[in-house]
Amino acid sequence: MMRATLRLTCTRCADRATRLRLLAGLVAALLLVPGLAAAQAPVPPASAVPKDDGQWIMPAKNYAATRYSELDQVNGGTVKNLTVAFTFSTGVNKGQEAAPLVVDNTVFVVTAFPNIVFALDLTKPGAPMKWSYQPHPEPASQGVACCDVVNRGAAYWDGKIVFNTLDGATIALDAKTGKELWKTKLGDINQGETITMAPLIVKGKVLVGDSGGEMGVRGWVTALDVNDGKQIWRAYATGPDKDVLIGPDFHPFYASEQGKDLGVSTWPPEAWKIGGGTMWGWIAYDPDLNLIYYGTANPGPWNQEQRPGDNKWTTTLFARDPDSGAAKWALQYNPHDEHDYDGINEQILVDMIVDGKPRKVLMHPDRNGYLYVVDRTNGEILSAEPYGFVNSTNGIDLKTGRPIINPAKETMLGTVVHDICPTASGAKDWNPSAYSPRTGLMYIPHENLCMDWQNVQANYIAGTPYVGANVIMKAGPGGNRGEFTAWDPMQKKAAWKVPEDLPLWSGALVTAGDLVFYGTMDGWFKALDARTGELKWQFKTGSGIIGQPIAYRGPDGREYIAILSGVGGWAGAIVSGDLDPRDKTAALGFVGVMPDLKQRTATGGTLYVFALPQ
Amino acid sequence: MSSRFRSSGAAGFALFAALAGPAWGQDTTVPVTENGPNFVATSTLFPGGGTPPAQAPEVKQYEGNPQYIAEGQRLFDWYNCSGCHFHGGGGMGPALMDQQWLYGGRLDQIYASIIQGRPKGMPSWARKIPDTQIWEIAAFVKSLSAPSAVQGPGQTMPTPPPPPTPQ
Repeated sequence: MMRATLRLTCTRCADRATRLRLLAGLVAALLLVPGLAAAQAPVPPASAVPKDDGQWIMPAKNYAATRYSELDQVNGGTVKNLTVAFTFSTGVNKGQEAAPLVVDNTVFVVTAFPNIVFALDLTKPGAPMKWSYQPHPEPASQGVACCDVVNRGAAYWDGKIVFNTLDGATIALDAKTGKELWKTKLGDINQGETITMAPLIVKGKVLVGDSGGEMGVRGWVTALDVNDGKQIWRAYATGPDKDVLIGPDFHPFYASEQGKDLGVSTWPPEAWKIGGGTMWGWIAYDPDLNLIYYGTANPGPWNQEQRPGDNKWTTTLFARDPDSGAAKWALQYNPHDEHDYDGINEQILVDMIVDGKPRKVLMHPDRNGYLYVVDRTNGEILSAEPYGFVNSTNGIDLKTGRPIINPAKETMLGTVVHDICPTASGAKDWNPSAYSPRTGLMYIPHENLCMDWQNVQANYIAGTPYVGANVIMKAGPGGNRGEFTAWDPMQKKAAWKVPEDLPLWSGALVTAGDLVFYGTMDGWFKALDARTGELKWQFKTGSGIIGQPIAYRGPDGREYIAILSGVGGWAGAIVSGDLDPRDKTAALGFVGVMPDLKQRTATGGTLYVFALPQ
Repeated sequence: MSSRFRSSGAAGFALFAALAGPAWGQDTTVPVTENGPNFVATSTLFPGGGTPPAQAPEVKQYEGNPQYIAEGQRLFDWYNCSGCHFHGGGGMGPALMDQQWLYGGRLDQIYASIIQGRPKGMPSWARKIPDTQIWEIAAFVKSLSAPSAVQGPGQTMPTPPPPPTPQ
C-alpha cells in the first residue's frame, strides 16, 4: 500500500526534493494516526530529560530546559485544596529571581545580594535550617548592577552547590555542610562586571557568564572545573575569532555570520572592547550532539548611532562544544540591535516534525517578540512567529535569518521615537518558559509593553553606565502590561492567552497534573489549567513574585510546589530600590510603566512551599 | 608617614587630655576642623554636644545658583551620573528628587558623597572630577528636590503619548 502510494506519488514528482517532502509528510501522517496529539507533540530529547526522580537539581529542571515535572498529585481535581506547607524568610528585601533547588531531601535557596545560601531540611517538621552560607560580596557591586541586585539560582553537581555572587565570583559549597570548597573570582566590578545568572553544569564543567551590558562590559562565558574552580575555557562575545573561540569547526548557516574576525570588523575601531554581548541568562545542553546553547546580550551603548555595523556577536545564539568551548555555529538574532533586545532568554530543546520532517530544534522566545524555532544541529531558523505585539520589525526573513527592520521605529539622536513595541525589556525578558510534552504547549510568561526612545550621547567611563538613551515605557495594545501565552509550536500560534495587568517577571512551571504555575508582581501565585488557561487556584504571597516555581516530591511522598516571593528585578526596581515615579525615565524607563507598584506590593524575600493536606 | 605620626600622636594626646579631666581637656583637645568636605558628617549624632558642624563655606557660593546648577546638570550627564540616578528618580542609584537622604542632604554633604563615594555602590569621584565641578554637580543634585525643581533632560518627554493601537 505504502509502496504503491509512493510510486503513484512519484509519477507526479517534479524533483527529488519534492518526492522526499511527500515521503516525509506521509510518514508524519502515519505517525499521527494512533495517538494523534500525543504523537504529534514535540518531545524533548530523552538524553537531556532523565526520568523525573522528584528532585529539582538545576533551575531549568533538565538540560532541555522544560521546567516540566512528572508529578501529578496536584492536578485539576485536587489543586483547590493546595495549601501552605511551610515558609521561610530570607531576610533579603531585594528581588528574588532564583529557583529553589531540591536534592537529597534538602531545599537550597540563594538570595539576591548579599547572595546568602540557605539549606533547609525537608525530613523534619517545618523544614528547619541545616546550614547557611554568607559569601559577603563587595557591597559596592550593588552600584554596577543595572537592574536590581538579583540572582537567578544555583546548580547541583555531585555533592556540590555551585552559585555566583553579584561581585563576580563563582563559589562551590559542600551540599551537606555548607562548607566552601572553592571560590573563583571571574568579574571585576571596576569594569562594570557583575554576575547574576544561574550556572549550568555540564560534564563536570561549570558554565558561567557575566552581566553588565549597560556598563560597557565585554561579554563572556567561562567554563570552570567543578572540582577545583579552575578555568577551562573562556569564550568572549566580541573581538577576534581566537577570543570568541571560532575556529575550523565553525559552520554558521547564514551568509552574514560567515567571515573572519567579524567580532572586530562589524564594529567601529576598538568599540568591540566595550561592546557588551554579556550572558546573564540561560544555557541548554544536548548530550547527543554534545552542544551547549546560549544567547548573548545587547550591544553597548544602547545608542546605536555610536556603533555602526552588525556588532557581532551580540544578541547571538551560539552552539558550542562544552569541552573546548569551540563554536559550532552562531545565529545573530538582532544584528545592530537598536532596542536593547538581548538574546539571553531560554532555549527549550525538543524534537518535532517540521514541514513533514523530523527536526532537532530549540524554541526561543526572543526579546524582539518572535518565537524562534531553530534547527539545533546547524542554526537554521525554521520559523519565527510573533508571540506578542511587535512593530519594531516586520517579521524575520528566513532566507537571511535577519529581522525586517521597520524604519519608523529606528532610534535617533535627539529625536523621541514614539511607541516602539516591544520595549527594551522585550516582549519577554529573562523569566523562563516551560514546556509540557503532555499538552505539546510552551508556556510563556511575558510582557506587553511599548516605549518612547531618545538617543543621547554615551560617554564611556569604566565602571559606570554606558547607555546613551532616554526611555519611557508604557502599556502595550489593550492596556494589560503582562500576558501569559500558551504557544502551540506545531500550529505556530497561541493556543490561549491570559492577560495580566502587571508585566510578568516570574518563570513558569508545568506539571503532569496539567497545571501551569506562575506568579504576578503584586504577589499572586497562580495555577492554570494547562490545556485551557482556566484559573484553578491562587494564593496571595507576602510580596510580588519574580521567581521561578518548581515542583518536588517530599520525603513523605507528597508533591510540593515551591516559589520565592520578593518583588524587584528591573520591572520591580521602583519598589526594591524605592525609586521616584515622578521621573518616568528612572530605571532605564521601567518606572514610567510601573507607577502603581508601590501601592500594590512591598519588599520581602520569602520562600513559600505548598502541598495538598495530608 | 608624617600624617600617620601626627594623627597617632594627636590621638595619644587626646587620650591623655581626657584622662586629665574635662576642665584641662577643654583647652587642649584635638582641634576640630569645622568645615571642609572631608569633615562633613553623614550622621546626625554628635556626642558631647549635639551640634552639627558649620557648613562648608562653598555652600553659600554654589547653592541655588542657576549658573552652577545648569553646568552641574550638563556634568551630571557627562559623568554618567544620570546612568544610575536618571533624572532624579533613581535606578542603580537612589532617587535624588525625593526628600530621602541616606548620607545627608546638605549641599556639602552631597559634595562629600560624590567625592568620597558611599559603600553601597556610589563610586568615589575624587580622582576623576575636578573639585569645582563636583560642587556644581552637587548644586544640581540639591536642586532636584527643591520645591521649584530644575527640569532634567528626561523631563522633555514627561507626558507619554496615548498607548499605540495594533497595526
